[in-house]
Amino acid sequence: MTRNQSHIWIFLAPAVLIYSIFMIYPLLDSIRLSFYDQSETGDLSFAGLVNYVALFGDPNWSEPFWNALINNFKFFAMHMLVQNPIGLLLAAILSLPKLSGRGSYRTLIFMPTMLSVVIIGFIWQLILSPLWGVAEGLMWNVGLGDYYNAWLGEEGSALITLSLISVWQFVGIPMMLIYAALLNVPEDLTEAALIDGAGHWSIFWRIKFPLILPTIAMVSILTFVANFNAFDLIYAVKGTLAGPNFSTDIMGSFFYRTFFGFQLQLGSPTMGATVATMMFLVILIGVMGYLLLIQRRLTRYSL
Amino acid sequence: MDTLAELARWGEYLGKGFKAQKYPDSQNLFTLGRGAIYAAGSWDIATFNSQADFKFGAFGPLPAKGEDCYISDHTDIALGINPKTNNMDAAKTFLSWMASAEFADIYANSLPGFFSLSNHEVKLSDPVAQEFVSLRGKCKSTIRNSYQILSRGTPNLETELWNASVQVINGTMTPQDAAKKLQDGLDSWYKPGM
Repeated sequence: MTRNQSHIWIFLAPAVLIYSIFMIYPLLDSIRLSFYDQSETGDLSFAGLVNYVALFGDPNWSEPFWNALINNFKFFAMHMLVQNPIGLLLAAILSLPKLSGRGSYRTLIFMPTMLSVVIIGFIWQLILSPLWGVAEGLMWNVGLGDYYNAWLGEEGSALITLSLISVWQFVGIPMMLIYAALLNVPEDLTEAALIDGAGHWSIFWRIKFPLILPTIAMVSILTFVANFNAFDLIYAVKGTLAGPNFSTDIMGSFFYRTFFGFQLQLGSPTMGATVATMMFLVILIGVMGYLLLIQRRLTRYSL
Repeated sequence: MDTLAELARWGEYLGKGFKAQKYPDSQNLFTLGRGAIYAAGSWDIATFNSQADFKFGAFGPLPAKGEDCYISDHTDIALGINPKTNNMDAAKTFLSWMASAEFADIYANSLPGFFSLSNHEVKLSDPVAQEFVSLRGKCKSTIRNSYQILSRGTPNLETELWNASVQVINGTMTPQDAAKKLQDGLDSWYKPGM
């Protein structure tokens, strides 16, 4: 019995050690840092909840915080409403039995996911640029030129545009995960359904969809975590100020501006740690809610 | 306030889609001859010397009638020696050279658009840089408003200036509101004469 236990520890040790050193310790340390205050000379002193009181009580901090949080939920909503349904659709099309060129489609759609975000941001800025971009010309060609606007520069549309760029880049991930789940659906089931007279449409919704539901739930929670940690695309396209008028500011960019500063704004490690802790809490609440409320109720079928 | 009101009128003179335009976009528009006036400082001289195939000049701020003209100068930069250094003599030699006419000449001519901190008269080979320097004779010198002390508090004056200026040019904020926001932000933590 003791032998068995030592085996467990040996196998767990690498993961536990690396995870503790590189994930858990920094996380706990940044939570600790958020309870400190920094003087002008850089000395840290314990300050209790001062940073949290400032973050929620001082309009200079609370307004950008709520703005960033709400923008982040919009960013997430765009991904849930656009990215995951399109991913599901693409996966369903890819898994159709009589599709030629499946491999090429799969690779092409997955390609943007493997590109650097900086490149994605740069390319889309050029495409949409009112000065040099091809978007305006293309829209005139199909008679929609009047609808063209400098989307990335308008307060109302900048965040949506950025979300769609992000969707375009990452749609490959839900597609691949759902596609893999669809491949696992045994052919006996679909064949039996075909013989019983079901069409492709009802086979998909009545048989395949319930079977891949756990995967879709997992894709959703992955999207949630990735979106609330997102930062790179906003930074690459809009810079630290997340303009215009902070309309594209999400938690990640707000954290970056607070922690590292901007132009002449001095960065504040302690306030930055406070924002980071709030990001951690938001993600924690989201993931816990998912685990407790949704995952338990999912029916899994053993095949 | 007057500055912001002036800025609000600039929107009309900017190209289509200027709201999504970035700094390098503007530089390219100017060097391609698609922009007549480029609002910036002397630091862009080197970029335009290498990229523009036409001659360009510079003009300073145009003050209202009867008012003095000011240029924002780097009055807030200085060089010093750490008193605890082990190489006091070497540092003094280096610093005296940095303050010499020879250094001023090398610096201002090899980096057109950047000027030495010393008061030596330098013969500048770059005509546009010379135009910039000649402004010093016509205008008074002033600080860079949001640098140094005024950018140490929360809300940060520089960050607010960037945000408010953009909104004023875009027409989403009136100059009056912008001026009030900036002043209120500053008042909340900075008392003059402290």
